[in-house]
Amino acid sequence: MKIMKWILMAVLMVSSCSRDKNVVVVYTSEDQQFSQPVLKDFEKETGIQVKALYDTEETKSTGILNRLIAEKNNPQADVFWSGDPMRSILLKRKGITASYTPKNAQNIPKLFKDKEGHYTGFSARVRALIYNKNLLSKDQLPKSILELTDPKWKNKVAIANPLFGTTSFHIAALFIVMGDEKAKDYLLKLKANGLHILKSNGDVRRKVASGQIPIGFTDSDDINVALLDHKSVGFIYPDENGIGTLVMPNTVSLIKGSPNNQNAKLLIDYLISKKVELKLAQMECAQIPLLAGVHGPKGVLSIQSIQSMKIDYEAAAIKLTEILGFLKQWIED
Amino acid sequence: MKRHFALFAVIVFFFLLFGLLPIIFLVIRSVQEFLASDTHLIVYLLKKSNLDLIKNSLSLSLIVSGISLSVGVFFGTILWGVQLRFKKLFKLSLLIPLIIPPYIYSICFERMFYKESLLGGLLSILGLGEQTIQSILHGMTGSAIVLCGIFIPITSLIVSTLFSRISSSMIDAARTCSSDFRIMLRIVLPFSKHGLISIFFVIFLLTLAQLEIPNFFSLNVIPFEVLTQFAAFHNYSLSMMASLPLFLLSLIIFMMEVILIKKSDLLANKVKLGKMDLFHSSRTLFALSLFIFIFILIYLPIGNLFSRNLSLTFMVQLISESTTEIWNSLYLAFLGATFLTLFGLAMALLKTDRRFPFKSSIDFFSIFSFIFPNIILGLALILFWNQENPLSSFFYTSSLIILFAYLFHFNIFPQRILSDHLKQLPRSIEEAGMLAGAGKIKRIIFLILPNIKESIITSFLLSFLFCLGEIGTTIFIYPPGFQTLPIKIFTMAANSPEHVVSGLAVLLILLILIPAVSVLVIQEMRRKYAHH
Repeated sequence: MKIMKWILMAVLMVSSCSRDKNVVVVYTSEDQQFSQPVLKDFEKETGIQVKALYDTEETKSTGILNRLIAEKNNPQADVFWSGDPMRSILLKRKGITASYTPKNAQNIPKLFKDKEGHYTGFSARVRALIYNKNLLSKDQLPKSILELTDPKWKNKVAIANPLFGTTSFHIAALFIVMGDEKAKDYLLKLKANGLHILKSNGDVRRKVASGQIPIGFTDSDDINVALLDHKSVGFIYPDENGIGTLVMPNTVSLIKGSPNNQNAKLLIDYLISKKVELKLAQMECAQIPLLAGVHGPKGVLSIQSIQSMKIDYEAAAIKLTEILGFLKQWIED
Repeated sequence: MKRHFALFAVIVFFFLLFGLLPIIFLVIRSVQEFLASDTHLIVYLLKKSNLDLIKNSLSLSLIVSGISLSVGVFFGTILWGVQLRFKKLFKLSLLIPLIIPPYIYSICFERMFYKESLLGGLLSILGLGEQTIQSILHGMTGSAIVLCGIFIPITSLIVSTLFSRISSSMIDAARTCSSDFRIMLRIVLPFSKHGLISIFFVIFLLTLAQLEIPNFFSLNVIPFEVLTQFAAFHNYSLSMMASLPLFLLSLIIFMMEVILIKKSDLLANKVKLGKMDLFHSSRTLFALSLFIFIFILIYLPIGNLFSRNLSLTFMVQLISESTTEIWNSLYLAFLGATFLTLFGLAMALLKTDRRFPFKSSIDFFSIFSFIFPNIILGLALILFWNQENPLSSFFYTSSLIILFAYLFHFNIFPQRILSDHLKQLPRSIEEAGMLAGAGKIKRIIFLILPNIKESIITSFLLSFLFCLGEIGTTIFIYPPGFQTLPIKIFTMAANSPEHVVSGLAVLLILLILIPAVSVLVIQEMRRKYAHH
């Protein structure tokens, strides 16, 4: 009987995660090591308990995005903090987000926020090329990603699976700036040139850092992590004089019918602030502040210094749904 | 018989609650959506890319289960029958691959071949550079080696437990007139055929459901198509349909197992256990082979984790930052293992009762719930339990939902272990109880349970390990603000510096090994004290 009592007590403990009053529930695809400290600061400053669900690109963002879709009719989350705009746009198109304009939204460039207030961008990453310094010297580096179809790069380039994560966003953006035919032709040539399709951006970073592959497409935060880990890698922002570099802001959205609506708005306002942008710029992810007048520490680029790819993010999100079939075929062939 | 049906009703009720009802709900929804779409199921399933996935999944499962069973029988024999020093240390080492998440094990395995590591350096001197090794490991080879690295240890441990049920007096008698090798072939293996077939099929199914490791080595298998339809296309109905080949294959495996096991009607008469001393003259060679296996597939890759600048201060800091996750993992795994053992025992009792008419359905339930892809199970649980009523909200927003998933997904292990043991119990034990006038419950508590104590402990420990390391479904359903340590490792793995991820994985290993080693040391001390 004693054992049964203990088991019953343990079950009660498990089930004691009941709903508290002063909480905000946030689902985030921003990596936990970067988002958690920000959310902890918010807790300390406001006294509002943050209940977070973390995800990572490594899981193909399977967890929270699909969970938000599945929870549409009975939302549990208040806020969705996405690592890129594509997921927020997808949720907007599925009618899962609500309109909310944060206090500081007017100081965010138009390109990085939704006209109807379904998402607002902040602290950005960029798509870049990571290379192994032991295998490539600076004068060997390409200036444009278009050069990577050249035979001299045969079997030397890696990219993450384009069906998932920021790589899918990057490819969709290329379709927008280059046009469907040219983009398809580019991808086919890239594949014919022995492109390595890996499972994630983190995998691209690891394989390049270990010297298995000389160069690869990845995100700026991945590169910075490798640099801080003293890996012999360098990076370039390609196409500075051409189509530009893809800038990918974090985005934050209010969930329609969220249970803790007021706290959600407080958290969104907090995220779109100078303080958070500075914090994310100072962390290992070295994200680029987007608010006017916010400058990151030395070594972190300013948004003005980047020749960013001029694309409509919503158009890229729609384009992605159109090209998914092609991309799947491209990987399988 | 009334009691049997009542117990069966309880099992069915919990099955419905834990997953069956959510799945039926999802299947109906998916079929409706699928019928409304313009995709033709047969055309989709027979696409060349899908047939390739089936071929890859089947080949991988066959290779892994075949090798794991063969090597596992060899090492299991050593662990059971050969007198070795440090046997407990070997057994403990074999548990390690079960503790760490497969994803982390894959990373460790790959790092083993980096130039800066011991093996990688040695191979590069021999002219096998990193790139050559990587191209060899790419796809099927790497996936098969890593999966064998995970399944051979557990197979060895289970096989040694299986062999230990054979009466030692029978073996002793046989040794007076036959060689050890012949005894293995003529007595040990035939008497354990039933269990060995079960192990083969369980590993086959475990491999069939594997996503993380084949994905790591870029081998496309059926679960990856399920994930792609789900995560990239957000097409739940097609994702569901993509998992159809998994069910069909599992069904075939189940039927094969039923037929094979029915034919092998072998029941061991466990009389007494004693210390075996087989293959005495070759024991050094056997010990060496076991050590080499453990060294290459366990110590070397796992050693990689420990070599990543893990200072004591850093580990203390890591522990203080992960206390909640450690606690969450431990008590959830404890509860999961407790309920799984109880649930498994109830299922095993019904399954082994000759008079019970639905006993074969028990195994079908277990296999069905085990093979069900994690992603789909997660989705089914969300769609079913996330409703606007207090009861379902209570389940959905608490970590009880994770317990449901554990019970649904892992019941096959305790059920199989316990029913295999129950089948081998001499009927005379229960008959003696009946003659003494004890009722069914008394006979179970006072006669049957003490006789299968060893399997109950094994079931609990195995369930504990599986629950502790579970990621696939947990990542999809864990409540906000409630993280387990493996989930934290997984979500941190993408962009954290290597020493942070390594530190967390080391923490997970120590979490199991420290109590396990302490128990062994205490046992040893008590034994010595009693001896004195």
